[in-house]
Amino acid sequence: MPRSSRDEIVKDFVAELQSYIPTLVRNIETLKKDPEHKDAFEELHRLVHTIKGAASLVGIAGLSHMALPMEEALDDITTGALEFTDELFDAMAQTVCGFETYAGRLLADGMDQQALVEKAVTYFRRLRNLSLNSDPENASREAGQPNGNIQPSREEGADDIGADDFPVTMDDIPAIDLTGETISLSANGLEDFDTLAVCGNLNDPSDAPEAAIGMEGTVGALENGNERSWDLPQDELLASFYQEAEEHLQDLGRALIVLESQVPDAIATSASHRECIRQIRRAVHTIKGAAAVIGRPEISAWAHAVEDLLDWLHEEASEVTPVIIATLAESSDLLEQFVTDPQTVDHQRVSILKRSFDQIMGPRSAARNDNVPAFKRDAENEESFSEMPAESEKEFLETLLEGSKTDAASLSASHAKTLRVGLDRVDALVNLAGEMNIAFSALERKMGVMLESIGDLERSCDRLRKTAHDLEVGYEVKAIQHPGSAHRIPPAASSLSDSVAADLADFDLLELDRYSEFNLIIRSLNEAVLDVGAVHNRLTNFYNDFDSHLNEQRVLVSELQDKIMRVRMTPMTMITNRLHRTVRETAAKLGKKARLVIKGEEIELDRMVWEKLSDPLMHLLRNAVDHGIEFPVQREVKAKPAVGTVKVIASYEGNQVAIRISDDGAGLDYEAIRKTALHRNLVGKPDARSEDELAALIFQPGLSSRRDVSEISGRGVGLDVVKENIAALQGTIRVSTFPEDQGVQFCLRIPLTLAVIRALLFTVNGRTYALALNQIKEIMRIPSENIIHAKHKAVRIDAEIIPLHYLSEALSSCGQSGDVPATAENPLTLVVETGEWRGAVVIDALNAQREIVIKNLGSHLASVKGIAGATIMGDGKVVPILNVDELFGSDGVGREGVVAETRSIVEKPLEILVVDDSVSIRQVVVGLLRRQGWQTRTARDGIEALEKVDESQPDLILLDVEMPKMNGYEFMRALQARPASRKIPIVMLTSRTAPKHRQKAATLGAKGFIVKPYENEKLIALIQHVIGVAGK
Amino acid sequence: MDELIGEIDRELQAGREPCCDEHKSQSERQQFIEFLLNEVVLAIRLSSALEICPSYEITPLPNLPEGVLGVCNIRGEIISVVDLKRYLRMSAGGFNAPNPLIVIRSNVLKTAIMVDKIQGLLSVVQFDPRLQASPIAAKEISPYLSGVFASGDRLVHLISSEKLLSALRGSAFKAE
Repeated sequence: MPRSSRDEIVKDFVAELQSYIPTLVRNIETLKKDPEHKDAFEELHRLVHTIKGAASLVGIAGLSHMALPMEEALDDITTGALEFTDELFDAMAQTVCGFETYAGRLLADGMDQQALVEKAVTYFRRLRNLSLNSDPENASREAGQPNGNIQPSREEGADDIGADDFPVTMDDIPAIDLTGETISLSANGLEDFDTLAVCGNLNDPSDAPEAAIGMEGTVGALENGNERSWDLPQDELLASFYQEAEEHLQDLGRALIVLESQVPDAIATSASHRECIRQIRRAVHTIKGAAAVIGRPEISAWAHAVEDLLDWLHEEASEVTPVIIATLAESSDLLEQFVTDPQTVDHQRVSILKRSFDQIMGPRSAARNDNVPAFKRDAENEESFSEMPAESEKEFLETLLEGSKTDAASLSASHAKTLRVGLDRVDALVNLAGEMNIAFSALERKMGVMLESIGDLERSCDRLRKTAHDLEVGYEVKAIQHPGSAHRIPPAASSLSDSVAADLADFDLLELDRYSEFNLIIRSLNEAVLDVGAVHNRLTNFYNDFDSHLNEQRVLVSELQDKIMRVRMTPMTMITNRLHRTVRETAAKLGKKARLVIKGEEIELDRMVWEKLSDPLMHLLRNAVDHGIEFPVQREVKAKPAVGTVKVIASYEGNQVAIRISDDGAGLDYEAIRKTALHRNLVGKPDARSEDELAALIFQPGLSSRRDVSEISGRGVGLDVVKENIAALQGTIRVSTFPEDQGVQFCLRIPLTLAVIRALLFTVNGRTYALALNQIKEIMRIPSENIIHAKHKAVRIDAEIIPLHYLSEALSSCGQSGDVPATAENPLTLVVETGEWRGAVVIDALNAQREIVIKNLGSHLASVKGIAGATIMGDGKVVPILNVDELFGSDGVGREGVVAETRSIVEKPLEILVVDDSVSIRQVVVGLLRRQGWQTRTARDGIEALEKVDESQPDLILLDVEMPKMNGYEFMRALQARPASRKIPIVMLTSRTAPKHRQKAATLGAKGFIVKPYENEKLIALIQHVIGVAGK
Repeated sequence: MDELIGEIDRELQAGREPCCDEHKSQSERQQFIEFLLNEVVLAIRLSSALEICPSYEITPLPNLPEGVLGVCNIRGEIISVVDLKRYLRMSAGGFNAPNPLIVIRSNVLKTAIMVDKIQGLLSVVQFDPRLQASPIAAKEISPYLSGVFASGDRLVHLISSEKLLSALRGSAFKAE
């Protein structure tokens, strides 16, 4: 716990304490006058108890010890063991005075708290006629009652001793303070058994783990409570409590169900029962601790009561009965009610349950009493003893009532702030957001098409306008060219009746415009042009509006996606403390010196992934310190800095998070690995293995090169488990060694499932690929003179020479051919930089930049070398996302072989150019070809076909003979004239069946001839045959 | 496509009708998808198949394990495509007209296998579990066989999708 937050808490506590003092004084005065004044007595008792408990909780043991004897004295008064005397009042007044002094000085330095405590303790001890040297009561407690409570009257005290344990076991700083304090107390010769008793309990192993468990919650809550006021639990604190409590309640429920199923009848308690009970008790205990800290005493009081029963069940009960289980179940329901809905708690039910607890445990209390004769109980006390439960129960009930009253209001408000949602639901949301992106990109594509259509419309409109204009001008000019020839207009076309026409005959055309029907047609044509123009304008405006709405939407969608992804993500900071501790502890144990450097703490991953990663990471770190880092002496000899460095560097790489763990130690001991491998017969001929292969062996189960098994590592279980754990996260782990004593590096890659990244889309060998934009440093055309043609190509960019790779080569297995366009002038190049790799990558063409949703390659291909994932575009196409680092990285063993093998089977789909002047034939043929998975393009005539061929070369051309502009034969002749296109196989598809046509086609180089109407199968077979022939 | 669906439907109908008649054998009756690989009649349990895709587009990837053609998008999910013939080394493979895919899955793995031709559905009331080996099947298939039975004049080899998938998984790991 940070010091500052503790100070804060202490400050708050002091304020609280000081607020109690006037009440304490007033109550003591009241009691002095009227010792029978019950309210005053109860309030006094309660306050002292509160002070004691709170003091121990915040780690001010001295104050707690001061309050304890006063509380005990008051306890004794309740039981009748002590009467109010003036001396007692004096003592109490002085104690209260002491509280005040203590509180006042607590924040200042140099207070003589020992003296104060000593004074209070001895005073009360004397008053209660207890021996100063040996106090049987305390002795009995010191002996360590397993349950921490002997009988109802003692439970509060015992509870607080439990509470005393909390800060000590869990919290370093107060622990040191406390133990230091107590030791000094006893060292001063103060024979105070109270203090010793506390010490005893602190060290009591049976209590410690339980307390520790309880404190997990408490300390967490305290830490959360940093800078929060003590008596006003903040919303956040409450929220985390509810979350925690719910978890524990669930655990409790599960354990209870198991227990229930095991106990059909009353049977003797078995180990598995005990285990269940232990689980239940742990949950209850944790809730109790946490509730006390956040200021929900009613919960903690009830939890405490339940815990008593559980303690008894676990430690003493000889048999479990369904009745007990039922009681337990009811109590746990009640506990849940206390947590979630304190207002509705039925207090009748509480007392009934409490009574049944006592009934169940009844015989035990008596037995206990007999077994502890040292326990100070006289015969006369038996009477009051029997009354005790009632008394304490009343107090207990009060606590419950009080708590539910005060907290009821704040509760409902803070309850709504957190929502526990199943992971699958969040996943579904994340998925949906991803799908939304894909759907969006489909929409965007359609928008593009629409824009194109609008452009087409505009062009058509212009053409129409021009045609109308030409028509108008041409016609009218013609009319003017022949003045007086109005009669030439066919009478039928004239809109005027003959008589009227005759009337106007003496006007020259220039003198009077005369409108023939043709004029009207031209006019309406002009109007239509305007109308179409208006429609075009409207469409354009509509498109623009639509586009701006879409843009808005796009922003929202990406924001939504961002937020949803964030829901599950946490930065690495979550586990860095653990990592630091691992290195520190391991180094300390081994007597080595090592420091841990962590970079990329801000890298975010799914919370669950971090949880699952922390074990493998800690293992690797332990290994690094144990196997890697040398002892300081050895390091000195090697002229390395005495303190070894272990680095953990995390970074995003595409859709993966790469975590590199490296050390500057001795590296892998290949000799030892070889020997062990030989010994264990893991490989055939380890001698023949290269170092890389040997390095890969360390992930084999059972391989440890360690000769001595140490506590830390070397037991042969380790890296294989690490690898398994990482594989379970769909991740990979690789080891690489640095040369000569420079240590070793492990690289873990964990996929970010369904993440969205900005990526650059580009084509290589006619296929689209994507690369994460954050890996691309530069996009440039490099002048060919800068390319260095060595065995490994390189390129000079500014003053730097970096390796040059041709993606078309590496991806040749996916493309049509492995032809390297190395001769291309100024190739388009991406300068790529990933964590450890930098290089220039030549691509064919840039496509676009966009947000893509990363999907994994399915369960079968969990990881493909060089591929980081894939995305689905709006049109349903799968685009692989490259991992160039892996593709070109040093580890290229065996890649060539794989490429050579796959090349023969994996081909780009056939691309076929269909040339026919009939639309319907084109459509039918294209449909058939597409169904085969082939790609198609179409052309209407020979001219268009030539253009298409020039754009890009198809694998095959399906050619009609009779076409406008350029017929099939002419086209083939033209194609023959182009050296690049000469080899494209051509299949004639015509309705001409005459041998003459066939021969002509054959002489021009057609590879096949099929007659319309054709049979689908035959056409396909012919194409396959031709391609097969052409391929050879 | 339509033909295929029609065929499957017919087969389904044919398979169903006797089912309704004799309730006794219903539990023993099992349905298989029957397909061809190099003229060898194979079958896979209908329950292990998710769907049949007659048309799709394969995106090839580099560094794939032997016999894996690439991935394709099946209803928004990226699924690997295995050329079964090549994987089983029944032929050298080679590009041919896209054959139908059968998407099969186990608890851990989902993939699509490419076969020569899908014959239809096959309903089998009972088959002798002792018959494991086939006299005519190529030995490449034998590791994946879980039974052999006669149906009409054909000898049908029942492929265990579990065995096949776990083998595929193994080879994927090796390739990594």
